[in-house]
Amino acid sequence: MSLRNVFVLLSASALAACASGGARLVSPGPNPAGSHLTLNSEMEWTRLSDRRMQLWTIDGELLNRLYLIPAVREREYIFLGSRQTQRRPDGPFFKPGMRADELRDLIVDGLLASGAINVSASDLRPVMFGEHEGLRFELTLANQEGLKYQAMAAAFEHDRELALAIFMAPSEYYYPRDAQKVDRMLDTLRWK
Amino acid sequence: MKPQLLALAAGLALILAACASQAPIRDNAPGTAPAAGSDEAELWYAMERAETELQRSPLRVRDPALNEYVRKIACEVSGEHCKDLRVYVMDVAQFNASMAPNGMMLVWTGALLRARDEAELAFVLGHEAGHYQALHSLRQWRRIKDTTAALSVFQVLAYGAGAPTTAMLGSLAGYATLFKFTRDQEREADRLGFQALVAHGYDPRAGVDLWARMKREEDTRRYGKPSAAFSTHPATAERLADIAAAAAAVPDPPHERRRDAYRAATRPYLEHWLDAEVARREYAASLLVIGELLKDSPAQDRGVLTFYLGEAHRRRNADGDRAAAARLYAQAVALPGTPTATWREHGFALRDAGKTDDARTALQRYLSEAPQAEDRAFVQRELDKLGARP
Repeated sequence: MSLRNVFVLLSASALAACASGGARLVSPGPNPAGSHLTLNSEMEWTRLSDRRMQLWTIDGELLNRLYLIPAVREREYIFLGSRQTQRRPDGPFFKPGMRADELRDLIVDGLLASGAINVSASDLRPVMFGEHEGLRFELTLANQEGLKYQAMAAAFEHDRELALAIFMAPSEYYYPRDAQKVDRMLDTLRWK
Repeated sequence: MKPQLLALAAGLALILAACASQAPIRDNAPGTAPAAGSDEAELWYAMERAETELQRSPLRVRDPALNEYVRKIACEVSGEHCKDLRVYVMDVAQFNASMAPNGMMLVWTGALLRARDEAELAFVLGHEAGHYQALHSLRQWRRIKDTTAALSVFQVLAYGAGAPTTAMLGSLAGYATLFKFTRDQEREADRLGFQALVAHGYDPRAGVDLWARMKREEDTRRYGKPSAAFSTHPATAERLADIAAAAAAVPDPPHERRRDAYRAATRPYLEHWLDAEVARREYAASLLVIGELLKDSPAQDRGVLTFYLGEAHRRRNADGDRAAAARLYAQAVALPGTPTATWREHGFALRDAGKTDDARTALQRYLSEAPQAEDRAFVQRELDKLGARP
């Protein structure tokens, strides 16, 4: 599933959530992102929830978005939605036991496949999320109209599944404004 | 698109459709443009709007040297029509080139990766220039309007009306697929491109070699739609046979391929294009493309190509791929021009094979040769896990 389709899925979910009173305010402090994934927020966000992922935004999803996916399953597309099959074996599908740089490549290739342009990753580094060994890295990319974005990603494997968080915002103003706070937030990701 | 604009576009489409077929096809002399008010002028206007969007695309390769080189070859094979063409190199890792009716020629970097020499690129660009010279887009547009009418016409007008997707990758394919030429038009473009190729002293077999490889690549596809090039330029056995027959019929054929000049112009991009190739995650095609490049490569490129062949195996990770990747990394570290990353992958392969000391040596070599590597912390952590040398 492309990131654009992820947007559509999330938008549809958000509409459904709104219909049942579902777009929620995230307050500073510890917050759940699904039933087992948690992180400490340093600021207020609006949360749009789907059954398997959440989108947090401050000013609207084109200006800042934090994707939180608690569990990408084995042989599932890195941004959910489809699975590896014998007929379609080659996409960015998650497999347990992948190296940190292979997980980074899944995310980069998934973004490229979704239409992001000039995607470049940097500063891949190991990070412990509680007892789970994981990774962090930064990204630069552009959308199809040439608007430049920066992003940061965090991921760790748990129970043969992958927890994934990606924050992205335009390089102009929005990313620099919130990057330090979000950087600290991603370090607080925990599986409980 | 706003409803008013939709209605205007649809109305204009119907008017154009009604009058299009009666208009004579103009003599497309070099340096000329359509008469004001003609359906062709409207078509040009729409494409010029699209071109303005394309000029801002982040996919556009802006390196003057590469652009000038590709343009030079396009000019050679388009003759006096050179002055009518604007050539854009687009950073897209698939084979394709296309020609818009207003002279906007697109060449994707995937085509530059796959061509072996100047003669093969000249064949591709000569074919596209042939479409321009023979006004195939206009003829095809009119044919479409006369048959399927407004829908396809409307797509063209949507470009002119500033559709927000004009800079998108999908639209790049769209430029190509707007005008799916008939078999006869493809054959005529082949003939015109072939004539230009031979007239400039290039080897007439260049097109045969290129299309035979492209056909082999297309045959690796097990799912999905045909690739962009093949959806608009079907490489049928018949067409390949036509090109081969034409090449065989040239008496005392020239043999110019200009391989060294081509390599000098494109070599700075080789690693970037190979990175993009494996990032497509169409590994059967990538293994064929990189494997054939390796077979044809000069000695100084074998290190980088052997490494990327290993990368395609490692990333695919099907049965036997890890072992194949490990063998290729082991070969690549001994070849000239291998990327520094080969030492990292060689180190991980040795670690997985239980050769801890050798793995440690390889990973340390990677870190010493790439002290600023963006993944240094990750590799250092893996090195630490291997423990100290006994």
